[in-house]
Amino acid sequence: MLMLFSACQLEYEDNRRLLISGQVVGFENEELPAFPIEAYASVYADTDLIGTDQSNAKGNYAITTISAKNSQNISVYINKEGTYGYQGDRPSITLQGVNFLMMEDSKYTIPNRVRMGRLKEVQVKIHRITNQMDRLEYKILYNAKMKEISFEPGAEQEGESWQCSKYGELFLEDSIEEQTIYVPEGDSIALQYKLVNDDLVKKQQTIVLPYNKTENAYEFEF
Amino acid sequence: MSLNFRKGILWGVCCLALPFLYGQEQDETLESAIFGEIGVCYVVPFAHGNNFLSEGYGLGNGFTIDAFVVMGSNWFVGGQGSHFKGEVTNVAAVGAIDKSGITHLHVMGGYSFINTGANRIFLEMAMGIGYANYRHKKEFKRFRDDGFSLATTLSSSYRITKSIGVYLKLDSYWDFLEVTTAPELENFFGRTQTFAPSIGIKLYTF
Repeated sequence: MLMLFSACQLEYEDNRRLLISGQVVGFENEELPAFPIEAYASVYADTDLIGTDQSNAKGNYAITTISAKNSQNISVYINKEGTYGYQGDRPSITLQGVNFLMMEDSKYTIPNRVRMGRLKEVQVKIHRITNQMDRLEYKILYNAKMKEISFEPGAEQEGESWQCSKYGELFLEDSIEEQTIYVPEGDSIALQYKLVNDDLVKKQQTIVLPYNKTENAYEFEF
Repeated sequence: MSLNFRKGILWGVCCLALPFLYGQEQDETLESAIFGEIGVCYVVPFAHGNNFLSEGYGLGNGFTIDAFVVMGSNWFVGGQGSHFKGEVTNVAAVGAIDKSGITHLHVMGGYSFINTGANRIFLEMAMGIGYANYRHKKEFKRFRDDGFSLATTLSSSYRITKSIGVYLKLDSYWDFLEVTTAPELENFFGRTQTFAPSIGIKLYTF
């Protein structure tokens, strides 16, 4: 019974500290406010805070943590709502599965720079240009106030998982469709769409749409 | 623990000890050779330097116990143990530990420089090697950092009666912990320096 209990609880290594370092960036590499950073370890239902830090003006952070020897997941929360120093006009980002990254010299390095653009309203514009035959069914996938990136094996697109979605349809008589979404400036979004003709799906695809700063929009033409 | 409370305890120890000490054996000669000493001290430690102890902890009060055998007229050897607590005040520097208990055990050797007033006033210096154990608590989970430790002690004692005295002591600890971590944190977690002034009571044996 005692062994079962201890297996469900985090246990910490003697004489060990870890360092988790990474960088967040703004839309155009502008100076950033200091974001609160927290690292957690978990095993089953037991989750512990293991370290904290604040990013600097260039977005760099390095979290010194204690080392749980039986953790199943190490996660890093950047700008978590409710923590001291939370910046409400920027997204909250969760990095999951940091323990699946390669550890070198007791150090995990978050591989990609994580975007922390200011949250703003952006248009998604869908234009019918060449295709006059098919109905378009679409789903916009994007992140708003919450972003999650997973480093667990098999995670999609280097682990990015979309937190929000919007559905829509463009009928044959429609030539333009516009949706407004609230996203971190500069982030890309995904568009899943189907071209349907007489209830027959002719094409089905997921594409990534980059942000067009000039238009303040994401644009898709078909 | 507040500074005022610490000062209060220090004065309390003095005030409690003195009447008790003066009440004994005032007329007894102090000439007889001392075989050994046992001391108990109240200690108020301070960490210094660029390390996790000084940057991340608020150190609390503690105690030291030492016991020495006098070898010849001025040399002495023995052992010393100390324990004090620390509350983590800067999680970013230390990691998310709640609190720690820090224990030192040293084998000591020293020399008595001044012995005036017919075995009444002593100024002693000692050095030692030993073991440091930082026992950490995170909620109810426990783990530790430990390693090699060096200590130096400068103490001044006043022998009130044949067998009892009071003393002031300044201990310095240099701890070399066996913490495995990233290269940029090795010195920060591998070495600590602590300065530990203390006051206590000493018992003499013959």
